[in-house]
Amino acid sequence: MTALHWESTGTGDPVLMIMGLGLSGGAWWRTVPVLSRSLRVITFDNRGVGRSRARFHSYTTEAMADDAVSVLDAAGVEQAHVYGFSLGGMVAQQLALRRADRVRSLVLGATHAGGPRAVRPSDEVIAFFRRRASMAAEDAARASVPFNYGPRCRREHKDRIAEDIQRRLAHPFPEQAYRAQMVAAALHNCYRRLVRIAAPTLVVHGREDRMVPVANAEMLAEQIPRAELRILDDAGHLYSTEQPDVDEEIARFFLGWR
Amino acid sequence: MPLSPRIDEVLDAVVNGYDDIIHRSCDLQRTLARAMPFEPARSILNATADLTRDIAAVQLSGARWLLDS
Repeated sequence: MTALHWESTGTGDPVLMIMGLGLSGGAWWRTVPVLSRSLRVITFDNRGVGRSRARFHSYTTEAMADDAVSVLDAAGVEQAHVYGFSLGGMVAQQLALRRADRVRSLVLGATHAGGPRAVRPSDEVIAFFRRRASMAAEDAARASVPFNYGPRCRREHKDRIAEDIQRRLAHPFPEQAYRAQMVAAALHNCYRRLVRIAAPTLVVHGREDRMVPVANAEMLAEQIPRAELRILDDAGHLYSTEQPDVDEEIARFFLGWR
Repeated sequence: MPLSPRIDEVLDAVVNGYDDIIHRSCDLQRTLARAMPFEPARSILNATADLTRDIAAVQLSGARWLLDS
């Protein structure tokens, strides 16, 4: 059976956090302390990752969105602010479309709408994604640095990158789950339905993102009726490591839609 | 070759209609599962709902991919 591990921190309006490819809910470790000062922050491990289990090893973002609804049910939350990052952002789009009544506001971080109109990363990045599935956890974490972080962070904040890697290695994920999440991301296709997202939305993206090119954020913000766009200069894919102040901004966005 | 806007709209409506039917069908299966007092019938209904959703998700993704191309 599918069993999901979730955690709740802080009090206030609930925020559901949905993490990206291969990462557990623990990967929100920089963001949770900031948001939980004024909000109830709910994190969970996506199916097959961390302490969560999956019944089948084939996923879709629709299935992952239903998992997110199950977490809200288990937490006793009728409606929440939702923050999805990367693959989690795709799941958050599905959640906002499939269960609009459960989403008060939405933050889409470093993500894309899927389908043929999504702007794809370079061949070098795609080749890395394919290689990574069969790499040892530590090798993969180190090899992903040039793709995950912008040049400025790699130059000036090696300590933060080292902290991220250390945390990531504490929660390794099975290769099978990684491949299943890759399939979910490849199948994801919400472009035509973005106009149906009714929740106020903040689209956040690093200008130097190599994993998900920034043009995808512009596309999301154009298509979603109530979207604002926040592009972070000098930031790559993992922007909250590079520019931690953005978490304060995201907390203010959620608090503005109480 | 691009479809005319009218045909494109009709196809889009058909795909969205199918999506809504699948969504309702899954909800119905889950409601039945919750009401079902016996195992393994409850698990089978939940598994069928998951399977319906995931097979349709692949079909819908493919259909929307074609419409967007």
